[in-house]
Amino acid sequence: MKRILTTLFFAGAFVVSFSQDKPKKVEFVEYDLPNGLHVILHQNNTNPLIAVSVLYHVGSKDEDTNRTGFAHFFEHLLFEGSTNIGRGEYSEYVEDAGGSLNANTSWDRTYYFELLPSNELELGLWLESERMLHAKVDEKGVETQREVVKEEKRQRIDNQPYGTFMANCFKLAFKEHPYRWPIIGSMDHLNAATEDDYVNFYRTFYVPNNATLSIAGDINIEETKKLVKKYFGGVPSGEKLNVYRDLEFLDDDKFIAKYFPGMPESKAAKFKKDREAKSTEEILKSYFSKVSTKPNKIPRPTAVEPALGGEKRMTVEDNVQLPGVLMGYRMPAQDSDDFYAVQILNRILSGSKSARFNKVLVEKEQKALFAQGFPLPMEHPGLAIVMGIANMGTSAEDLEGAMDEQIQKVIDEGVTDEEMQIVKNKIETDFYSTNSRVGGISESLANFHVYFGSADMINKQMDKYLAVTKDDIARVAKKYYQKDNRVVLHYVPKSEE
Amino acid sequence: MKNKIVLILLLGLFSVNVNAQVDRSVRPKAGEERAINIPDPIVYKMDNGLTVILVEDHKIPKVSYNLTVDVPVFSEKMFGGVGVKGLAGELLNSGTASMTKDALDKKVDLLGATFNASSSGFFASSLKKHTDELLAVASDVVLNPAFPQDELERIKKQTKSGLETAKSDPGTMASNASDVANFTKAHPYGEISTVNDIDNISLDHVKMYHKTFFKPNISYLVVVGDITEEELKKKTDKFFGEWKKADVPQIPVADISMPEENRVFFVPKKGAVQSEIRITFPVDIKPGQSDEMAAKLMNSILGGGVFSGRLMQNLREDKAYTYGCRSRLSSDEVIGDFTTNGSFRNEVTDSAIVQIMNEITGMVDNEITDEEIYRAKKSMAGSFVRSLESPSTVAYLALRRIKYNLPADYYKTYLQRLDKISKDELKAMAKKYLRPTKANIVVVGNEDIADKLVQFDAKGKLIKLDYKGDLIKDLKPVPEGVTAEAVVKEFIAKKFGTSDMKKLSKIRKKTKSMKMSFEMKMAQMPQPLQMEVYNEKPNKFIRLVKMGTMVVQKTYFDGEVGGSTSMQGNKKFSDEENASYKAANTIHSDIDLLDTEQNKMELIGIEEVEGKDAYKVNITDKDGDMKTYYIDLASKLLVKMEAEEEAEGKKTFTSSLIHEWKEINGIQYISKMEMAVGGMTFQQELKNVETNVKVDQNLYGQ
Repeated sequence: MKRILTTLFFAGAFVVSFSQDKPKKVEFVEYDLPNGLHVILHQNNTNPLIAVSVLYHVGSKDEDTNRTGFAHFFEHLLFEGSTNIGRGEYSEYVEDAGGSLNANTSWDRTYYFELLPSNELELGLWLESERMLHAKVDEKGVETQREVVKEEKRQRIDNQPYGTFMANCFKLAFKEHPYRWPIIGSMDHLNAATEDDYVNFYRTFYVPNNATLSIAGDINIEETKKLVKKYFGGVPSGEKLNVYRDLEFLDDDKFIAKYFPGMPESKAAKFKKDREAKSTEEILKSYFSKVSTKPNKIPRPTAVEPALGGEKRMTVEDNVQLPGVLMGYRMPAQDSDDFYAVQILNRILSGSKSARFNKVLVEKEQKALFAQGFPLPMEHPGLAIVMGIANMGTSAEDLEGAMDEQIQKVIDEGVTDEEMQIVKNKIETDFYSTNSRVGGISESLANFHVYFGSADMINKQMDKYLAVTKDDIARVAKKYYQKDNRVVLHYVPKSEE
Repeated sequence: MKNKIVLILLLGLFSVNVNAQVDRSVRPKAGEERAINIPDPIVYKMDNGLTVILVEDHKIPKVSYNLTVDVPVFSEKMFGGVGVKGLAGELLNSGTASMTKDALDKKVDLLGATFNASSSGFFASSLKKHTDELLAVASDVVLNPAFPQDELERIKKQTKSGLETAKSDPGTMASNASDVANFTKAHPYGEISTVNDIDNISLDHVKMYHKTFFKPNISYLVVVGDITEEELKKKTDKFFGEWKKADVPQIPVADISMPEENRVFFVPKKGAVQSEIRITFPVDIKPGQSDEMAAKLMNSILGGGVFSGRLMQNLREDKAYTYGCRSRLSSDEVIGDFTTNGSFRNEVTDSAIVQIMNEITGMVDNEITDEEIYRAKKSMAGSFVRSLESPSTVAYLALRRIKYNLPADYYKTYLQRLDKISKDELKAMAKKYLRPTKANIVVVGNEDIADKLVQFDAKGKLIKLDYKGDLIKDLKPVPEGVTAEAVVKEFIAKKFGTSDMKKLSKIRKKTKSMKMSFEMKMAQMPQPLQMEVYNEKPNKFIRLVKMGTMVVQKTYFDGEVGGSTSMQGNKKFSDEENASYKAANTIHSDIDLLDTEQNKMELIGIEEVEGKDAYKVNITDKDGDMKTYYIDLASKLLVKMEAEEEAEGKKTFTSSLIHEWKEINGIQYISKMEMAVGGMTFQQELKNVETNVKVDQNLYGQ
């Protein structure tokens, strides 16, 4: 009797301490505007700060085969200005308000954000709605940003040791799917781009129903809803948005030729007069009241990459001093259950000091300067990377063999309870800090909504990780970490001429 | 009734406003600003002098501990070599007296914690429930590190591999060159770690580093998180109460000389498609000094922080030369620096330098607009406020305030002080701190662009550096007909007044013994040392190093055997060493250079030594040891000598720069010389030469 009591007592203590410790749920509200824009609001009034962000669901995988690099290039162009914002003014407005701004582009999305003092919420909404409604780029802007992007490529890729690692890896791993080209794209494609290309890309992807507006920080939900409506409610959708933008950017003759071909001279004259006198909204109302507002369907890449069908290898002579090995294993998309197990497997391989790669490859065998495994979170089936830089005196072949041995060990023998415990404890600890900054929360909420179909996954992730078992790890190791499912790149020092 | 109507009217107005078409052509008005509040940290000092700074933050059940040991600036060469700090920091993670590295790593990982020790302390963070266990680890690491030898070897290997990668990394190459250009290798800030340094560092050096500097009385423990002062005090007493205080030496460092004109430092990088350009110079701004904030605001307008900075707007947004170009002005306890940085495609390298220089000059000479000032102020204020989102920033600010002895309200009044800075002050800052005509222009890039850089150097000459900041000398071709043997012969003729073998033998015959006295000075030593060298025919020698009258080191060879004695103990020469000494003349040994059967000579070319042309000759003796002689074209005398010697399995590189020769009794002797051995630099001066002295035979032996 006494014994049972003690157990009960402890069980109770555990439950209490766990529930006290459990990370707070991230509260938020989300809804769609009639134009299709998805809105997510998270209120946290601790600091007088807000993050205003817009995620456009367009990345390098959505590009035309002959216009690779366009999504990223567009990110640069969309800082050039709008009908109401002059060239260079985006950063000036934000800096004058004491804020900061930036953007980034991935395989799957383009993400813009401003961090602002909370009394400047309306500024953030204005800037982002301008970008969505009628961004404007002139010739100088296009020419300048084209060169800037080339410099970005030289700085980040061409002039960096091992800088072409990723691009070569994806090129080798994908033959059909657009993940095969690099995000920065082809400079020849950017050189060849015409005005029509820009207009079409903007028309296709920069529309409210392809965007998620996510705001986090020192806001009042109800007031913010009103302001969102004020700035984004008026952004038209569907064909109406196209007409709106054409009204803003085409001259009279081009506009008439496009929308009223063969319009009699007198009518055309009246239209021109009206256009001069009236606002875009009024013209839309009087001439295009019947135009469709049905959101356009966003084209998505449909290519399905067939199985790799055998190991692919490549050796690159580069301006490096130490050999490097990069292996890419084909993986399921980030929202699949297997992906959680793969993430935990990678933490067991290289997520901490006591992890296998560090203990064996770096410390015991001293074959690697460092070695790491990380799955890339991608919307479509993608890659998990295993990479290492060799220590002095170790060849790429040796390092590859040593890494293979570690992976094979997981396949053959699985992982230990202790390793599972370490990873889960770390995940628990990390969880408290992950959502401590407004910038991070707004981004996570938008990501979860777009890639996982539910922003609330922000609160459910931890359970997903904790549900992974040792058997799952062994299973995914065996399923995905096979030689015929991978590409292998060796980077070796250029032989001196 | 009347009131009610007014109210309805007002309501109507309000709703009309909300529903009206938004006027997109104007920037929305800002709402009311919310005041910021910087919480006061709790600060207390323990009996052993450890300062504890606590910022409570009970939002999440985590606590982090950051120990900062305020290690004074010193030359790492004094502790075995440059890189000793890094090795010591790494090695602190390698276990304690009671815990192996594997056990330590596993313990931290099982707690789900983060723990990293470094040369200046540690960072430890975990959930509150594990805080005691984590602190036990942290305290053990600081107080009882194990410093295992095999771990040192592993980390050394790793570090050397890391140094290898620097050879192709433009960022590291540019940083090394900038540090050398601004501070020189004689100053701790210009010290660049090399493979030789790492080889030289022993476990004793690492232990010495820890023993000298890891003291509570120069340390700060910054704690952030879910813990109260009362709870913390118990923990700091328990885990750091035993840590003993001790005096930490303050070590003098060399003075910095400012560049007097524009100089170009070029670091060639094979196959580079961009030039990494840094325009940089030392700046004397101490943390918290009265004009630090105004100086930083001025820099912000030029190219710091904001995207709207002049450098970014001109070089990226207007000219499209680069992905980004910024400048940085950093304050420092010893000496700070100003640096612009950016990467530019090869073809526009020179144009980019012109534009950056224009912007720096423009900052000094031209107007600063009100708009620029407003933007820079708002932006700096904004980034200050944003940084406060993280409680660790609040703690960091408190640490900085206490460490540099700034006023208690220094950060509380930050925004007001920033707001008050005037245009005149900013202009004054540009004039005071920017040096557009006295700057170091550092370029890492393709060899093809070198010619285009010459125009920017005041002397019209590039200073070429390698990836670790060492000079690359360009060799000039040797005139036809000149041979190594002829050059060496001329030197001997100059030194002894003749190169005739018979006459030389006569000179040697006349001298049975010699005594030479030297004074040796070293920057790190308060007093000079005396050195006495006795040479006796044919191959005997004694070398005594004295501090005052005390002999601190002796090396000798008695014709058959020899050895050395010093504070580190006695050593006998090996059989091989004895044989080698036995075969060598000690009196006027230079004469033997003419023996071309024993010595193989190669004339490499003409290289500049201290601005003068010298023949560079490699001479390899019969044992296979090579020395490099630099013989001045005009004076025919030796001006520099380099040798790589192997002693006790370690390779040591010696470089001697000869400043002065002196004639004594018809023979030229080196009278002033600067010797660099294994990172240490000695100044050696010849005081006296006596010939045919009586040598105390008791000195041979230990």
